[in-house]
Amino acid sequence: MKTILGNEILKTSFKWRSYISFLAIAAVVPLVEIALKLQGTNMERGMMRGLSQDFLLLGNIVNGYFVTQMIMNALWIHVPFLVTLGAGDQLAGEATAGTFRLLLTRPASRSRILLAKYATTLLYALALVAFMAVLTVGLGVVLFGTGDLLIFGRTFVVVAESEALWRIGVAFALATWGMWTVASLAFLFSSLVENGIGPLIGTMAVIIVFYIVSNVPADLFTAIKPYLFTSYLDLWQKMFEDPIPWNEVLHSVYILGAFSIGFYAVTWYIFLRKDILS
Amino acid sequence: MRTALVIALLVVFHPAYGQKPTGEEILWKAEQNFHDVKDYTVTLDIVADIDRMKVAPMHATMYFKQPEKVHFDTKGFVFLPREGMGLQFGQLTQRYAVDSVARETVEGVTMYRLVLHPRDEKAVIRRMFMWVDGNRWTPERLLIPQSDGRAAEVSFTYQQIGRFWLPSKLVVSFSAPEKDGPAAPPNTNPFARGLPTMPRGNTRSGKVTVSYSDYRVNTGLSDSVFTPEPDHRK
Repeated sequence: MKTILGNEILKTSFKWRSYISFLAIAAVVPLVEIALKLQGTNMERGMMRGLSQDFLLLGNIVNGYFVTQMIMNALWIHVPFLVTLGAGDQLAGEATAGTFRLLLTRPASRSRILLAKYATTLLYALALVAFMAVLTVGLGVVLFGTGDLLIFGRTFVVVAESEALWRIGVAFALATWGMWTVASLAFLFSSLVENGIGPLIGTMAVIIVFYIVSNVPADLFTAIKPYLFTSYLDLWQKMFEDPIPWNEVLHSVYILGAFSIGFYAVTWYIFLRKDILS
Repeated sequence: MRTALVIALLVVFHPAYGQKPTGEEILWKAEQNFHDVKDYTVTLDIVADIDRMKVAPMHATMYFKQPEKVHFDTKGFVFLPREGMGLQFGQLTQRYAVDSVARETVEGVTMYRLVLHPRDEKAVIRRMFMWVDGNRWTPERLLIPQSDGRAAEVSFTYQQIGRFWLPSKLVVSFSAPEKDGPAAPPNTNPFARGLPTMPRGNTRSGKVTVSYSDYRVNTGLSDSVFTPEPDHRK
């Protein structure tokens, strides 16, 4: 199993398209942070307008942690898209390259090969989110320094500096968990088609449609919402609430885990019965 | 004995005896109480209990030097109520004009209620009510109507540091107008009368308590303490 996994990781790391997502993050994060840096106090003034009417505000408000939390909003749409780029190519890529039959002639069972590919997909998503975390926090702290983390939402929350870093760390870990569900869906779609574009479009279409359904305040959609995995992808945001709703976090973790396992089980079922012709 | 009797008679029959001091005199006395405080350093502990806000207790060190140099050192994010904290005790007569004075007795203590308006026409606050203790001449309470129908109420508690009465606690309460309730008929708020009405924004109600401790008065603070640091965030 280790050898198969090693081979799959090597194959993925030798594909140039595996790095598109990393390059995108490496370009976007510094761009956004430099833009925020240039924007300077204007942004701070705009954000604090409601409070500054009554209060004199002191401290480093737009700090590295705050900027990180802002950029983490890319986890809604942009990062799932980048995760799907890699995950959708795992099985469909073999079909496109015409290497599927060759791969399956090896003594390892289809289940083992599939598991190795799935593990590679999850590692890819993990590496991508970890890269984003290190770059966002690292560059943010260098450019903006540290300080208490201010969360602007329905409730204005101030997270103490001593807590901010670990909360961000756990938030990224939870985000990875959510991205694994997205990757699992893309992996499932990847088993159905012979071109890497299909899983990408399919996964993103599902995510966008589910987000829309989740946010339309209609009774029908409200009833459906608990059954959509996208309703739980916001689990990382709960790390910025006070107090942290651990029960809700755990609930989301279980549900997303169940979706990931479910998607993988369906993929396995399809893959074992699939007539591989390419 | 005879001298004392003469003085007592002079005081009793003096035209000013029994008359309340004028508003300007009260402000001047309140100001004089602070006159010899050249500078001070004080530790501030701030607790905010405001709607839709979750903020842990905050801490800051405040440096003050006459006439109006103020500097804060904070470790983290801190917000301080403008109302109350912004009151320059040493510049009351310079900053405010008195519209009217009334004498009240609150719990056996004579209080003077002043209706003030800022001398600066550009000031956001147009009118302010100040209660001054008639014995030690310290501002005890402020009521500041806001242009959007809200009111900020400020109460001071004092401690004696050497020969000075300096704040030991400041409580600022904000009241927000009911958003969902029926709008108040125009001009029913006597404090807001004549003020331009502004749209009700994202207003909050609640209370901020600032505790002052560890005063160090007249230590000869250097002007360099108040030199603004370059803003690295720009």
